[in-house]
Amino acid sequence: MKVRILGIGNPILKDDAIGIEVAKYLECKNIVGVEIREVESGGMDLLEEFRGCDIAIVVDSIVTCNHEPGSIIEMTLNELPFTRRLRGAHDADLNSALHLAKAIGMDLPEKVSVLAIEVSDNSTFGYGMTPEVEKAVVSAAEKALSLAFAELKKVSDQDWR
Amino acid sequence: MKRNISINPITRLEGHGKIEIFLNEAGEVENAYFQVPELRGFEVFCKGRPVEEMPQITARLCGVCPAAHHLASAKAADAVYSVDPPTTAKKLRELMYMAHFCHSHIAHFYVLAAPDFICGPEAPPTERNILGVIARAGLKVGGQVIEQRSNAQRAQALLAGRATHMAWAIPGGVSKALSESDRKTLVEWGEGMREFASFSLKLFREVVLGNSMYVDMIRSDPYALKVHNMGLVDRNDRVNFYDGTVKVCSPDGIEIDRYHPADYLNHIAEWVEPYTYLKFPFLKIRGWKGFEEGDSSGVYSATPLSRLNVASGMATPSAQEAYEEFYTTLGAKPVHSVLANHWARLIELIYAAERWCELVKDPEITNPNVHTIPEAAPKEGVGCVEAPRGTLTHHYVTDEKGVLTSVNLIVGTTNNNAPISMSITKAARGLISKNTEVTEGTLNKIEMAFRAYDPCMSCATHSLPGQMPLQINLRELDGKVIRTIRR
Repeated sequence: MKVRILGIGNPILKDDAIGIEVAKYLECKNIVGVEIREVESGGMDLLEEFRGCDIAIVVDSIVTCNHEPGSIIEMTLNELPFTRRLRGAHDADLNSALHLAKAIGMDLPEKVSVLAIEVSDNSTFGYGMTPEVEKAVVSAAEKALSLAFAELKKVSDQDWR
Repeated sequence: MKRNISINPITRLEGHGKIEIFLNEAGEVENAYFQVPELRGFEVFCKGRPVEEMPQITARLCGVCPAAHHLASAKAADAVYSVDPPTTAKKLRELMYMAHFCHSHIAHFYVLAAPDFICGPEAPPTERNILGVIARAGLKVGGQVIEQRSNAQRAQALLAGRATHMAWAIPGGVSKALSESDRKTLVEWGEGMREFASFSLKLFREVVLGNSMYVDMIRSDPYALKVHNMGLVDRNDRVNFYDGTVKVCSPDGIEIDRYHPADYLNHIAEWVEPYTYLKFPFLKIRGWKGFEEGDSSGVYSATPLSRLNVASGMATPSAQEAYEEFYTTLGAKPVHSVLANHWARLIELIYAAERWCELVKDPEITNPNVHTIPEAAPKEGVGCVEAPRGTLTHHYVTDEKGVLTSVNLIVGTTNNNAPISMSITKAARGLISKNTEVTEGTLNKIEMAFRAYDPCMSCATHSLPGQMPLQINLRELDGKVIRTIRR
């Protein structure tokens, strides 16, 4: 089974970089059995990033104003209100794109989980995140990894039985 | 009773755009405003960086048209170093750009424009989307949309290393030549794209032109806007996306201005309104006379329709044929219907696919000489391309070491800021009158005037997320909400 973690963001837009930073952190760990990708695209172009895996875990920034910056919110794609990247400005939102792609028989994951990290500034150009969001990188990465391992474990348990 | 109708993406938690419609005492539309939020600090971020970093940085300004920024920036950097890239490098840049145009125009037509025509402008929003389009047009069309977009994306990646944020065009050329095996792949994808572009125009003819209601809608006054048109033209006065001179024609189709992009500051100025961060560029030759139509106004638009309106034709055969059909059918040149932009976009799609095929069969295209080493001292430069949604200008000034001291950008959508506001007002006035019940369909028809410009806030400011989910608030004069419609 192929499990993929997609860290989505723009590295030069302050806190919007969080997804990319989580992916970078995980890449350094050389984890076996989980593919890590840094993704800077959005909307329908994300389909290519989903192609060919069974389980996808998306890490992206979000502004809900209901959580403290740096909070990690786990949700499914259907529960996802809108993050900057998952709702492309110019084309279909990811959910519609995935429905369309599934209808035409594209090889897409059975399950997509989303880890959204509440951010405070994703409107200023610059490198570096705000301190609260920066602190969330490690815990978000660990959370993503635990989701990935839980999926892998389900399969190995089945195989064992 | 005065009412204030606010069309507002419910994704307001993130950066968002908003349309505000004000009604007067008589219940008629007084005025309409288009507002976008600000992305901060771009110039500050760029100052002090080496100019050669700009093609990579500016590609990250926008997830929608990174290739347009990448190339406008590389051209500005060429000019900063007074370096002329080898012919093959210019052709490769143009080839990559054709793939980008195909990618962008397919998305706009099938995902943003087609739902209004294939599903109907008043169809429920749950059906009026790409899934509704595929339900009616067939799964095969859906498969083609995904495959052709994917090929256009992969073609950019094949040439430029990455499709979204390429690190390829550099001052003096490009960093990688095209191999023969990659060229063959691009020939195959280009031919597929050409067929799909022709199919898309055929679909438009059947669905839109074959329905008198839509033809009447395209020709109707609420969707007409008589302003000046702007676009890049080549030496033969034909549409060009990568290079050329900027040509401006009046609403009567008479050429009133033409200049080298480097001279833009002598021809374009920007008006500021207190209610929005986004500036309103206007023609200096006319001056700012307000949000007015007509020859004496300074307002211009820079859209696919504008490009066709200023040029004498298209540089490739099928696109030229489609261009002639366009003006014969609509009866006059220039065309003023903003909805005709959808048709113009498909003509441009045909051109981009044909030009892709031409370039990839050019004997010079695999020449390994793709870079001229810059030797002159860096100073100042302007780079200009036609982005899918309008003329895009990058202007950089550096010190003697090539470190940026000043950056100015005029992006595609900014050019169209005044026309967009005016089109929204006209559509709203035409569709809302005293005692009109403002339905979701009414709102969508107003939004259609806005959507025809293919506006992109990603770089004008930042993302207007999603398929523009909307919220409409009907308010009493004191601001009390009397009705809200969401979709």
